[in-house]
Amino acid sequence: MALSDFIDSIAPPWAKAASRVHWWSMFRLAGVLIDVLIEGVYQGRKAGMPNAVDLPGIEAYGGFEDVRSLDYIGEDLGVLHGLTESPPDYAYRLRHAASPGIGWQAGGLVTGVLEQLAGILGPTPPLMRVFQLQGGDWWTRNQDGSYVHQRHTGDGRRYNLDGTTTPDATVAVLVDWDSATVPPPADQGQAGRWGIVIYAPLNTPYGTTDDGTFDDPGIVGDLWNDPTTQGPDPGPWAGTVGTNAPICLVDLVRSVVAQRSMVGFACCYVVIAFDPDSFNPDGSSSGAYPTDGTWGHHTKFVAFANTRIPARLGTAEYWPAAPGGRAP
Amino acid sequence: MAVTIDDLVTPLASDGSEVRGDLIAIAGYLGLTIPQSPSEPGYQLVDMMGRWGTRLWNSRAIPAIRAQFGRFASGDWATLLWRSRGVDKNLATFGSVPVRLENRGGTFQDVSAPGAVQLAYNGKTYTSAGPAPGSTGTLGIWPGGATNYPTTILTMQADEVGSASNVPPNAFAGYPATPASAPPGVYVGDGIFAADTVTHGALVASNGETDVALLARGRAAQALASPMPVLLKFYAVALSTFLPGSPPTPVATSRVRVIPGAATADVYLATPSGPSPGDTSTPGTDVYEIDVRLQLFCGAPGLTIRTHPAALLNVNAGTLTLYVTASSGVTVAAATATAQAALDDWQSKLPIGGMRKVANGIGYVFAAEVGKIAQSQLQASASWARGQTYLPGATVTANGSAYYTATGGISATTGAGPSGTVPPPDGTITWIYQGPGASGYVQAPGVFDVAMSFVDTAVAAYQVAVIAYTIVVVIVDQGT
Repeated sequence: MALSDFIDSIAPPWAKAASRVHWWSMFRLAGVLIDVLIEGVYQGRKAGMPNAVDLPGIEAYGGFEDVRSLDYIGEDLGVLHGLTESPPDYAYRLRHAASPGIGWQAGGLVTGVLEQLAGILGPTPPLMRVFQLQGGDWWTRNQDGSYVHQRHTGDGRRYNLDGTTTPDATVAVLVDWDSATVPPPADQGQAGRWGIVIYAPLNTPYGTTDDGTFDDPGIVGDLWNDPTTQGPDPGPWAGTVGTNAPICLVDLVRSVVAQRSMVGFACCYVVIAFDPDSFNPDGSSSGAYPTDGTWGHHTKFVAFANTRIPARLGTAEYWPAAPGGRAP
Repeated sequence: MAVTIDDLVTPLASDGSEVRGDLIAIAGYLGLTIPQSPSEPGYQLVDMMGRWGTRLWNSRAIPAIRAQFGRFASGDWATLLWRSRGVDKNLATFGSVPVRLENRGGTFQDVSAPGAVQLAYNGKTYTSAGPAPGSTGTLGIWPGGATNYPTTILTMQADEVGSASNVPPNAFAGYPATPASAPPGVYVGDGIFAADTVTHGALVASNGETDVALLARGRAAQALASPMPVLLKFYAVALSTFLPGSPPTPVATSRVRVIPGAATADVYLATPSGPSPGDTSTPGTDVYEIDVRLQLFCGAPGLTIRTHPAALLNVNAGTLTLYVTASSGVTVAAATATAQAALDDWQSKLPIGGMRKVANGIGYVFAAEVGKIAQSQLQASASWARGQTYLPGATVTANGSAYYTATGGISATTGAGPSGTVPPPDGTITWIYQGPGASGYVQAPGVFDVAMSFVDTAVAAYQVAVIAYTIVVVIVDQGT
């Protein structure tokens, strides 16, 4: 019961007499003011708690509806917010910002990177894989949240959701990304390089398809489709070449990778795979794998034909993982 | 939507007008019509409620609510916020240093008691805190002749907190200058009869961590939970390093840049004034002590960490000519001081490697930014205090907002200071609302343009720019 109503309920009859009712209304007005002050403090305290929930029987978002407060909390905890990530999902990640499963206690680990990517690409995170540019270790995060670690040595395992593990004897593909690339990339041969494969759709409606035809503005209104328009430094929602992901989604993915990966072991490529059958670690994909060392550039020179042909699998797009791109 | 986060962190108009208007409207729903006339008793009662309700909300509720968010918290609330997350604010410290004293008198002296000796330097005083480790605090009788004087070493501690009491090495005056307070015959000195000297280290104190620095460190500290050396962990470890001493003092390093390579991480360090002091071979220096902790807490197998002071890049911005309207009443001295304060503050926070417009691109000191800052005024992070004398041009934070006074004065001896967007007079001071928060730059009063010949200057990724400049102020009467 509001304080003003309570005051009204306890008023003696003489206080409500016609000649005095205006004073009693003043009392109630004072009660309204106190009610509002206390309610403000109450709401303010809730605003600082990432308890936004949306469950039957519980007040929407735990009673504090302005979910922008979650972003303020996220700034302090270092948890980035996905473009289509629901407030309850984001609030959950904020509450577990330091957890060993999905939070900072997994920083620098494969799971630390992939769980944060799954978070920002929610509510339906895509299938993702981590691979070595020179090696045979593959990690897969399935869409149900389980993991598979497959190795060229055949002693991998599955990490099931119930906490159990199952040996996986798959002999994973031995990746050789760029050892034979000419001209050699600046980081050719460097140990510790790795990449991520993310299977489209990335983050519906973004990253679901390519960037359309030249004159198709697509979902994000690619400026490059209109040669008569000289745009300023592109805004975050401008389009990118290759997919219909806006710049801000590309930057978000890169930021998460940079934030959660270990210094000195560089993520070189974020591969957006449009063929769900591509890049299977067991070697069963019909498309090409990065095993001949010629994937360092988009194209490779074919001497006998005196021409350049695509070096990489054509059903995928290859984002440089570092903002600003990698050395060609 | 009911209440928004903006509603909860933005002060109400301090004159109570917003609340008053709402109360009048609500009164109507309760069947009470309140004439909008200041002479009406009902209006006066509602106006009174509006004022005290606003004061209560602005001075008590809003700071507590804002304290939950790093971007809004300030002062003691910011300290509490980050402390609750395991990050303690580096407070201002009292500097101290061991100083040798000698006895030139013929009487035994026991100066071991705290306060037995007081020294002075540059208008500040320093009181003995007892004998330094290994010393007794007693001075034997000087036998005379050409014998060296008996000596002992006391720890001298500044009586005033902060860097204003800093003392350079060997700066305390020896014989014949007498200490500010000491037994007869006791002087600062090394006790060498033939050619006496004064030898002591520097007395260095900290002014305490700013809210901005605490915010950056607090956010970076979230990565300390990471078992592996992620980027933020480097920043958190470096910025939380203390130099050994009694008491330990935080490093002066405030800027860090990590450049990762192939299984390597090159860490470059800078203080607010330039490259961090020291190297990885000299204990007790910033670079050394930070490297110790980086190797310990970020050193993963196979990862090579190299710690360096940032390379100094001297940048000469030349003459910055500020144009000030005569009607603003701003003097040349005030405009110059305002611009200098803003520029010095800004460049103390300029990232190592400069600013860049393209991710991973070349960094610069951008001329446009220098020009903008030169026309700005630094918002203070100092909290408002009761009964304080504020000079013209002073800025304070109070009740979650920043305020500026053109004429200065003495603040009220009661209350919580200015609040809202139109604060009432505070003692003899009229405060002007600058905006929410406790730091940043706003347009300086009276300044309407700047002229300079400085152009964008490239900064290498491992360099820290130190910018020299000359301020010239031209006051222009717009009426002629």
